[in-house]
Amino acid sequence: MASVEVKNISKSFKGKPTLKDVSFYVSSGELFCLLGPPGAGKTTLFRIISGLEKADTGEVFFDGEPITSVPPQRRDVAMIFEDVALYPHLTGFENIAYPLRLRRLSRAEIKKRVYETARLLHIEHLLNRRPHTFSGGERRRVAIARALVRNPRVLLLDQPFTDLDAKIRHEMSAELKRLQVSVGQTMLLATHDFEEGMIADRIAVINDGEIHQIATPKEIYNSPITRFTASFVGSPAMNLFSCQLVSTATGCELRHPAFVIPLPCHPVSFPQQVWLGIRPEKIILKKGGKIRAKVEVVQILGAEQIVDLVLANGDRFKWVAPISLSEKFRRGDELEFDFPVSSIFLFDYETGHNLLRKEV
Amino acid sequence: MKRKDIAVMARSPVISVALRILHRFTVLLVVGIFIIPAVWLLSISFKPPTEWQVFPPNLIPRSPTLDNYIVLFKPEAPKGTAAAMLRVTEPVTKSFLNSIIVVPAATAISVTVGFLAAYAVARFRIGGAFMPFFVLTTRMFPPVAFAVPLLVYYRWLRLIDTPIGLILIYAGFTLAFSLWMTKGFIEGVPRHIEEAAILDGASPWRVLFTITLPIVKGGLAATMLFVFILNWTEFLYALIFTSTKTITVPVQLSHYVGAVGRFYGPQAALGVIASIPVVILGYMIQRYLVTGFTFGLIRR
Amino acid sequence: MAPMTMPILRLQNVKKVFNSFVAVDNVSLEVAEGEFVCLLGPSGCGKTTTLRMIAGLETPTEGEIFLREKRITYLPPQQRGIGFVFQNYALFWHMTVYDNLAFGLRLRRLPVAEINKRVCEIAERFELMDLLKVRAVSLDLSAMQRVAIARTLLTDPYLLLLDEPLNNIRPGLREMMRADLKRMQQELRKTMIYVTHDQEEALTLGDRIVVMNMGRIEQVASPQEIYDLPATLFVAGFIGRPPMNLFDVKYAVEGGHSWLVWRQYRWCVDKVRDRIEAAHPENGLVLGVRPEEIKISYKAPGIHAKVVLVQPLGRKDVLMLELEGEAVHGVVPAELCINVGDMVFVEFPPERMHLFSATTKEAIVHGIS
Repeated sequence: MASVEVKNISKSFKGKPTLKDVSFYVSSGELFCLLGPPGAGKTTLFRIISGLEKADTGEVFFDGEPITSVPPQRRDVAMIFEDVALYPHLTGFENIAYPLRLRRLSRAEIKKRVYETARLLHIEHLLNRRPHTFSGGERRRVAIARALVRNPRVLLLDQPFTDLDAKIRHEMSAELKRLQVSVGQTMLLATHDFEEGMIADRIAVINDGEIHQIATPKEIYNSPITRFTASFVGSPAMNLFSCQLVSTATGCELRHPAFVIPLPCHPVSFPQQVWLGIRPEKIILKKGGKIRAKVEVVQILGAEQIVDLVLANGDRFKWVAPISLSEKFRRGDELEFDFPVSSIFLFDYETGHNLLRKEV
Repeated sequence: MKRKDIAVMARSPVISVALRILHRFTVLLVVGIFIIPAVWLLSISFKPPTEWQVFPPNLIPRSPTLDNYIVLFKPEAPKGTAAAMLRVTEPVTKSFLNSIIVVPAATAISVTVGFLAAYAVARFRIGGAFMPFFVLTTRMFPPVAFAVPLLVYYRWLRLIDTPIGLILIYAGFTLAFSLWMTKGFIEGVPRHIEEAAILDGASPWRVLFTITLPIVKGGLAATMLFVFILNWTEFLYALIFTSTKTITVPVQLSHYVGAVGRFYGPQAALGVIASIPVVILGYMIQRYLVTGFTFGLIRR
Repeated sequence: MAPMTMPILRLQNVKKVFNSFVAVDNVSLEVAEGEFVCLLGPSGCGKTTTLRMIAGLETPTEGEIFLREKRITYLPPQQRGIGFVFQNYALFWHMTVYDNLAFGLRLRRLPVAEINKRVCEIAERFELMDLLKVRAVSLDLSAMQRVAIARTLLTDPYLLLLDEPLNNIRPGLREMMRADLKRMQQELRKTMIYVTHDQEEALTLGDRIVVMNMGRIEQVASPQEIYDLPATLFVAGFIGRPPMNLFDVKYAVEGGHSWLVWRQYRWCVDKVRDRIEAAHPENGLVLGVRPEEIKISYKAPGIHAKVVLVQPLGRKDVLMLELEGEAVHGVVPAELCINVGDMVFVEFPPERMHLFSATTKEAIVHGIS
């Protein structure tokens, strides 16, 4: 299992830059997630790592050795494409055996390895059938088997969970994690769904060809570096309000058309216009609170309530009512909230940078 | 009538039976229209000369005979006054042999080269965006336009009336079809499947033969049948570029003409015999034709 | 929970067979005016086929469909007065938003002034005024959804059918569009029937949910009822993420009390003994507890379990625990910072335990205390 280092990779298509100076490091045996919206450049990056595309500038290293000049056939990289790409004219067994046949292993050895891998993924019953008879989840598992059977140095999974039922998605997530732990496989996962990415050891948030942040899932959630990262990760998404930060006689104040929040003053000098960010579950319902809003929509999700509220100036935000609150809210209710200072994020209006984050 | 109304009407048993009969009848009608010439050919091949141009025509020969078939192989056999008018002195075996050698060879070359070229064009864009169109230009002119220049070349290369000569011409002219047809099938194979094979470790040739080729098998079969038919029935160039040694079946067919007119009987008989290889070929690859058009890549 | 007034839509014993495959099997349903109904189920359960039959894109093999008590079973789609929003919106790509919206009206040969008026009205309401001249192909997803819905509303249908319109949209945007849709429906008070396989979506959007499986309706109820009181094993396992934990348990009578027995653990079920015994417990029982209702802590009492997997989801963590050899899912707030390998104590609150018959798959009792 190899470590992967991507260094200053840039790529443009027809003059449009798709990847801008992307760098990161994945250690051997790590489950690394590339998280970003469609069009961010994830697939392009994977294609460069696997060798199917060439980068304009930059290098890729496996275990410290540059592989940019090595053709894709010999990089020993396996990739699960978004559309799975099984060989339609071959049976399940033949699909999984294909890479082994190319390596001229003995028949007995091939058979052994295919059956082992099939058992690992619970797909023994698919070995004699053709791909067009498989369901979506089964096709993915066969593709993963085909990739794993040759113990590739690196495994790339490009959006492996699209088109799957929620239940199968959940099972497969767990299976991937289990595989990573038991086999020690270096895996890179590309997805636009942050919940799928949260099983990774570390996540790189990418948007518009640029990496915003590389950190553990919890860190990304609790200390996002940019506004984009903050609003991309989290369900429901972080609430964002456009505010003015002004200094007063006693300290600082966050001024919004519908509310004012005093803040303890920070020694760093702030720009005037900021984004105030607060996660829906951190908002506190409090009689007499500074933020007054009216309920628009209540969505009951089993034990939780997700409430859509609107402020006096028309801004909308979401609140997740704690499970302990048994009262049910209705459209039209007027409620009062507080935004606890410890849960407030401030982002620079222009650059989107997290102003309160302490650099480590 | 809207589809919904028909669907509704179809729920009544009487109407549904009537619809089914109508359906069957229409199918038979269409098939019949295409089959009639073949059946007629068969019929004439068993008719004596007296019945060749009878009006009104009758389907079943009144006095069936095998003479037409016999005269193909034994031109000397007497056949009444008409036989003397027959200019043909050779049995058809020679032309048959020539066709059986030249046509499959030319088809094989055409399809193989076409397939490889199509792959290069489809996957690697060899020749640029203009290439496919360029290849198509070979078919844009009436074939006879090329006859004179080719004749000059052939005379110089001493290829006239040789099997190789004819094979080269047939392969060359059908190349455009082979390339275009297989290109379409190749493009129907999702790139990701080939890329998966590359990542598995396959060299480009390996990918072509173990992945792409099996998937487009059906398309290749269809192309092969199509090109075979084109070559098998080709008349003009066979006529120009062969005389006695490499005569092919279509040319042989044209020899059954005498001073009194065409000898329909032997022509029909030869036509029947000439159809046999094509029918056999079609039968043998029909399985591939079906899978070829569906690719087996049915999703969802 | 049938509506009190005349239902706007009624399906009566509707069945649809394709060749020999029964896609929809004896489905009966009533929808009240202004309701947001979700048809929920895994792929292949018949929900889309049912929707298409309501629209008229398919004809039932058996059964009847009534719109405001008028039989529309065989009526062609364009005559039903029903709007349909397709999965990928089916906008006319190269036409402008205005043309897309005006399409239906132009077909009806309304005067230009009237078309203009109506289109502008609805564009205003859906915040599309700035986009009227934009080509559909350059719109972002949320605008596309609004155009698709606005387009159907322009024909003033009795009800709106939506076929998984948010299926391919990434999660962050999806929630926003869901909320938009819900708000829109509440303001317009238009009856909507929405097909989805995402149970979270159905729970948040629907006034009532119709859970379907293999062509049949498993349960029709409000989201709260579906979540708290699932009628069948299928509904219990399908609703909720992560899915409900299910255990095979036995029923025993000992020492004058009735018990549910699993491994070496027992729960007293005296209070609901009658209900259990009426359901032939000897044929097998299945106990269900939702992951978010399991009590997990580092302190006793409880069943000892090991944390095998932690999936952080932001504000909560989904845990996979190993409990007496079984894989059990639990949910804890992220603040607890539970790690893989930790040993925890698990308790199943009796009032949140659901009991099902292993043979009939139906719920016997919800809450055993």
